[in-house]
Amino acid sequence: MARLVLRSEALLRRVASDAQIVADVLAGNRKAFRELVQRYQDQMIASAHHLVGDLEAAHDLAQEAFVDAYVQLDSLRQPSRFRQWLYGILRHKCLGHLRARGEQMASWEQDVGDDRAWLPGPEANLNGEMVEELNRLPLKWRELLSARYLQDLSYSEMAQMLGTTVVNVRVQCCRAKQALRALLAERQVRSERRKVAC
Amino acid sequence: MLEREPCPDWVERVSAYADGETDEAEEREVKAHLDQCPTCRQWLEQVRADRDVVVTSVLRQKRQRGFARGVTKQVARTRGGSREVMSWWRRYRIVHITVGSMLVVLVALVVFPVLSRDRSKARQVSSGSHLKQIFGELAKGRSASCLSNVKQICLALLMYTEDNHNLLPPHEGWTDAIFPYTRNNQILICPEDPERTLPGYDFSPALAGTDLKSIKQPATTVMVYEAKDGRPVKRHNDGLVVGYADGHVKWEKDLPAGFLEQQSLGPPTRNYGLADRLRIAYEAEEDVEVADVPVAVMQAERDISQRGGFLLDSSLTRHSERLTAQIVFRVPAEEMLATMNALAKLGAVVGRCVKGEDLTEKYVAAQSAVESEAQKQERLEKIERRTRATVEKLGLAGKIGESHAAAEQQRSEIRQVLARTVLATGTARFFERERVAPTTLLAAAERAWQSAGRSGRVVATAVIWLLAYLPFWGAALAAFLVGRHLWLRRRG
Repeated sequence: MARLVLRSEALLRRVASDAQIVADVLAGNRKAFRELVQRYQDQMIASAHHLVGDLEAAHDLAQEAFVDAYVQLDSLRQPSRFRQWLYGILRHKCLGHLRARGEQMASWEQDVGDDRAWLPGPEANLNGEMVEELNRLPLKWRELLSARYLQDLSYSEMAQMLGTTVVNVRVQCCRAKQALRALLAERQVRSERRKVAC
Repeated sequence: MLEREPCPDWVERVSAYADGETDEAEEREVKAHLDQCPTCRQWLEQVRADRDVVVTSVLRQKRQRGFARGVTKQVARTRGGSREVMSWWRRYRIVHITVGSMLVVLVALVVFPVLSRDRSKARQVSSGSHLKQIFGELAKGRSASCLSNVKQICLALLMYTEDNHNLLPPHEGWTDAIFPYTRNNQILICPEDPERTLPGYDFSPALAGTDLKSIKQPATTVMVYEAKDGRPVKRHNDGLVVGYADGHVKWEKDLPAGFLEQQSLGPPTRNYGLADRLRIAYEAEEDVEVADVPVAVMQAERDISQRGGFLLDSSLTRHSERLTAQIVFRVPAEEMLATMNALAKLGAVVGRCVKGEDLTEKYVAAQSAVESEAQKQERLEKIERRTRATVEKLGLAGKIGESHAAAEQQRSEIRQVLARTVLATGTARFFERERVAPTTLLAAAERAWQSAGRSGRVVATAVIWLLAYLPFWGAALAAFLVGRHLWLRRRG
């Protein structure tokens, strides 16, 4: 409980500050926008990286998202929700990038189910980093995990962004976690086997 | 290591619990389950650990150096000038611009017709710079000045009525009548009139001498209007300033339809418009030659009595061979001319002379005297009531006697006033019928009452009471007789 309280205070402080900076930028102070960039650049790059699986492309996409946010800043109705709004822009950019790259785009409503074909399997010989392993997760789960773990969005905010219900988000989040657990368990099994082989 | 799967029924709730998305009741249930189920507990711990793995592994990636600076540069490059455009649109939103435009259009709609109208008028009046004319007129406010003139004239007329028994002045000399209230003849000149006619306004002849209270709709009854030689003149923007009987003033395009036809523009007469309140006493003489004088006398007496008149004196004299009759009579004023005409038919008229005397003012004075007497009586009654109230309030035994005496005196005064009022009323009525000066009769009646003495007044009062209650006495007597008759029949 103590952790939650601390988070909410920090959130409140940050939200108020966001609104002030947005008002400042809208009043004509262009340099104030840099404060917002510095505040959210890590989160945004991480999310983009998690979604597209390419660090360089993630940098470009995050940059584009910030520039787009600056251009469309006066269409932001609630300045206190700048972070969520910015992530929405980034998400669209990432999806557009994936589409352009020709990746199979699973629609949000399409059920991934319990098909674990994406799992590399215990025999796979993989020495890649964790990020690359995580990119094996279907896009649907990556979106959810990014929104929940990296952007710290609540279920209702996620539902609003994804255009679905809170109940659905709750169910899908659970499945995403299960998928992640399966992936990490698989990785652990592989590393243990490698140790034994050595 | 393959771990065991969590309980299928609880996995979703545990997941929501891990994200802090459960309400209090659900949280309690999940905690209770976790206490009992080690598999789910373990799964929860793993999920939390997984979260840390994801966050740390992704955020651990090295960021490009100068990312924020790059964004700022790109922002400056892409949005260099358009930020100002955006903020300008944000500041002056389309709503503000629309409202502003509508206001400008509205002002233009109001101002331009006025300017064009003034310009055309200025052109009609004289030559010269149109703009100068327009602004000159606007600055001087001539129309406003004319409105002010008419307003002042209306107020002066209304003030005149307050001092003259609610009667408006006669049409002839109305400007002189209101002069004491205006003290300025300049207000009778319209500033728009190049000829500076005096007066540049006219007082409606139909209202001359009218009782202000008798005007049913003063807000629509024209009292003053711009005129020249009695005819309305349009001097302001093809219209004229009109003052109404309630005192309000307005610019009108035209006078009400049929207004001029209603005006009686005939020669002014004294007390013009006072027909219903006019009181004229006539004195007439008529010489008639008749064939048979005694018959004519009888006929004349009949004619006089038929018209509500009565004889004052009648004499028959003989000079040599001629028989001459002289009749002095009175008839009501309204029957006087008819009576004279009827008498003229008795024979051939030799001479005729009728003189009239206007008694209206005396009549009005007598009426007001009656009213003042009534007010005096009311005032005395009020004093008596107050005296009684004071005595009751004070409750002082010593002063009660004095108060009684004062009250008695007040009562006697009231009785006297009452008697005077009755006499005055009777006198006024008599005067109205007989055309006799009221003051003399009133004084005579008062003298008679004073000289009658106490006993005389008591007797007179008793007689009046007896006569006033005669029906009551008659009924009482009849009841007594009937009762007595019935009583006697029962006995005998």
